[in-house]
This record gives sequence, C-alpha cells and structure tokens, in this order.
Amino acid sequence: MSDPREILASFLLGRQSRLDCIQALFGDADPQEMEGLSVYAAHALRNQKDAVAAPYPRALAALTAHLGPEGLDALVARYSRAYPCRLLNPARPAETFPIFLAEYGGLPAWMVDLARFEKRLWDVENAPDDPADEIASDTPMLRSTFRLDSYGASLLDWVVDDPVHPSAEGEPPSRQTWVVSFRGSDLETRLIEVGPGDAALITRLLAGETLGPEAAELLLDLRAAGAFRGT
Amino acid sequence: MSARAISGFGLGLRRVFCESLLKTSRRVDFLEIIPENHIGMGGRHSRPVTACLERWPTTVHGLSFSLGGTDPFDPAYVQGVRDLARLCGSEYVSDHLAWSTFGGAHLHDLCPLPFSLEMVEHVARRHREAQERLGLPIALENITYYLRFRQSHLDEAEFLKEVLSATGADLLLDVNNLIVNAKNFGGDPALLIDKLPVERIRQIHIAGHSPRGSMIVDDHRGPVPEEVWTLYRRVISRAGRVIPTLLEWDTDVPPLDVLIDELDRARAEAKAALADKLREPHRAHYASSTITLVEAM
Repeated sequence: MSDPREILASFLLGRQSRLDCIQALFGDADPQEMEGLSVYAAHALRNQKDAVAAPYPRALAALTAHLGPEGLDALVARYSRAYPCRLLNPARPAETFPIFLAEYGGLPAWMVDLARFEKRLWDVENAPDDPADEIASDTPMLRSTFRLDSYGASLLDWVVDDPVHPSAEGEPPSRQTWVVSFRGSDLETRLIEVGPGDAALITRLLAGETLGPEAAELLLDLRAAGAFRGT
Repeated sequence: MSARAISGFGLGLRRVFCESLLKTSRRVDFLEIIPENHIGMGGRHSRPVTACLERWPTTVHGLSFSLGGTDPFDPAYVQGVRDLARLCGSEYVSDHLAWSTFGGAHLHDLCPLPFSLEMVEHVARRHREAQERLGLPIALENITYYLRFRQSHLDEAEFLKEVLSATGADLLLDVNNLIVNAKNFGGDPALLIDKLPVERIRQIHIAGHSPRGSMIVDDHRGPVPEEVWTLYRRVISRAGRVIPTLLEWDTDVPPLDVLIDELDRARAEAKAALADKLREPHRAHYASSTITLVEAM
C-alpha cells in the first residue's frame, strides 16, 4: 500500500490504526502529522454523526442517554465501518442505521423501532415529489409515500407530541402497533394508528388486491384522510 | 431555466435561513447551492429552497466529484448535479481539488492530494472526464489540508498553477483556506496570491476558522477574520475587478441579517481595494476600467 490516499482512506474507514497510518505515511510519529490525522478523524466522526442525527434525532438522543456520549461515538464509528456510505443521497441519509441497530445487539428493542419509525418519518417528509400523486383516477390509488409499518412499542403518541424537540426521557409503552404514514397533498405528514384488522386489510390493499365490502369503512376513512391520489 | 451569470456578493444557501431570505429586502446578489444537500429532496422543506433558486442567480458547488480520487464517477450524482445546474441556470459548477471517496465509500471529508506533477496529470484526466460527463465547466477550489504527504515536491501555489494550466479550469479561490494552510504549515498566503493567475479566478469564498488543538481548522464558523479580509483585499486589488464573492457560514449559523452584514462588509472591502488600486501610480493603466467597476458596486 504506497498510495497515500489509500493509506489515509484505510484509516478513515476504520481499517487501520492511527499509528499504523502515520508510520505508513511518514515513517515516524511526527506530532504535527498526528494532530493533522486527528483533525481528519474528528471531521469524519462529526460528519458521520451529522448524517445520522438529521433523520434520527430522537433515536440518537435515546442512544446517548443509554450509552453515554462516548458510547454513542463508538456506535456511530462502528456503524460507519459496518455500513460505509456508498451513495450520497440527501433524501435517504444513513438509511441503513435501523438495520445496523437491529444487528448491534444489547439495545432495547424499542430503540430499534424508534429508528425505524424516524426513518419512515424522514422518508415521507422528504421523498421526491411524484406528480402522479396529484392526479385523481377512477380506481383509487394510494399516494406514493403511503406505507404501513408495525412496531413493538407505542411510538406515535410518545414521539409525535413534540416533533420539533426530541425527548430522551423515559421509554414508550410496549405494545404491538400498526402505523400508516403518507404525505398529504398539503405536503404535511399524516400518521394514523390502525388496529390489527385494518392493518391486515391495508396489507392486502398494498399488495394490489381489490378489497370487498368488508373494507368499505376503512377505504372511506383513508379517503377522508387524503391517502388516495388526487385527494 | 436559461443561464444566469452570478456577480457581486452572495451566500451559501442553507435551509435554516431560506424562509428569512425570501422575506428580506436587503441585498444578496447570488446564491450557491450544495447538491449533496438537495438532490432528490421533495416535500415541504424543498419548497423554500426552490423558491430561492428561482429568485436568485445560483451556482452549484459540489463536494463529491472526488476529482483527485480513483473511483469511477457516480452517474446518478452527475445526473443530479446536471439537473440542479439546469434548474439554477448555473453557467458552471465548482468542486474541490481533493478526493472524498475511496473503494466506493464516501469518507465524509475533502482529503488532500500529494502536490506532485503526477497528481496534476491525474486531476487533469479526471477533470476532463467529469466535465465531459457533466456537460458544464467545473471550476476548482483550493482546499485546506491538515497533512502534507512525502510524495509532494511542489508547494501549494505551484501545484495550483500547474493544475489550472493542465486542466484549463477556472479557480474558485477560497481565501480562508489559504490562511488556514499558512497558519498550520507556514508560508505567506499573500505571496501565494501573487503567484496565482488572478485572471483565472472565477469566484471567491470567504469564511471563518477556529483553533483545534495546535491546528487551525476551516469550520466556517463566526465572522470573517480580519486576516481573511486583508488577503481578500489583496486578491481584488491584484485582479483589478470585482470577483463574485461568497460567504460560507455553516457552524452556529446566525440570523440572516448578520450574514448580510458580512456581505455588506465584503462589498465595502472590495470597493476599498479597487479604490486603493486607483491611487497606486505605477498601476495607473488599470485606472479607467477600475473606476467603472467601483462606480458599479
């Protein structure tokens, strides 16, 4: 490995220690070069944390409360090593973070759910505009951002009461919940908790099934909420 | 949108002040948008950004071409930058004389290059390919560096000159970056300015910096320091013209009026630099064109 770019990249991606990097680049541990390398390491960590903080502010607050600031830094560094950013897409930053948390182990399950929930909020809020969403059709079609997710914790009330200022206090009630989410024609995010029966019907609807009379009330409710295109 | 040239004194567009910007009656001449923050974004947060792009001439300033790197260019990124430039009516795009990806992974930083002729040739090849793919000129910005590689056998000014010569690119001169590099590694940034082909400077960045340990880091925090203003005046004086000048303030971003106060200061500094130049008897041959420029500000 003689290309200095490869050596520095190897360090920034967590594959080589600081000392090994310095020795490979400079032959000895010059204090100024050590300090310079620290600047790059600090930048990398800060930028990685920023990438996670944007879509996951509440999960990050909860993780900080659970792990402490140094523990959080270690977790973010480990995430960046496990899932290095391959695609810069501002609409989907750190999109693998919930997967990583699920694999990480030792975290309360609700924290993983919280990250999944925040990812959904971010996606609904920032997804590219789809012109088809504003066109009504004879066959009711769900808006492009419409999704149904299930969680093992009751996150909706716990999180959405203060969407601007994330709270890290306490934890959400443990309960199986299903949440519909979509972006309305007014660009506001809609979040609706549904029961298991409606969740089953919506799953069929999302699979492309035409629902029978048993879904009439649900479809009326979804239409009233603006879940269909052109509404 | 048809092409709109930038001129005067502008701001790096940030979401935190978009709404305020749309309401202000104070003078902002142009904007600069970072594609990595906006490509593919929809929804309500994108509306104020789009409104700003429609109202102000805007240039596109990328972070991810990784012109000094070795990874293939990402077609989706190139397409996104092209679409954004078209939306803005941007006549050119800028990116950094740096590398930011390796082995397909983004490093979340603008990493330094060895200052060598070999690297000059490498950057020239990459720059040519990037421009062909993009279909627009790419101006190059000098970066801050916190390491100097053993493979470097040119100084920063020589490296910049060689790259500009080999690529034919215009320079986006970051005055603050020159100051930061000089503070960290020595050298006189004023002498560096004197070595550069000022006629190739298409745009200027000004910003603040902070100490970190024994080093100074380019964190775009706080008001523009006096030493940056001093060097800025020297650049304008040497160029003998107003070069589009952009303020970058990304850390602890203050209210919009504070940012515009800095633009007003930049306008005053440029005017003073050009007026001073008029008073230099040995450079009187610049006088007539400079008078016009000063009056136009």
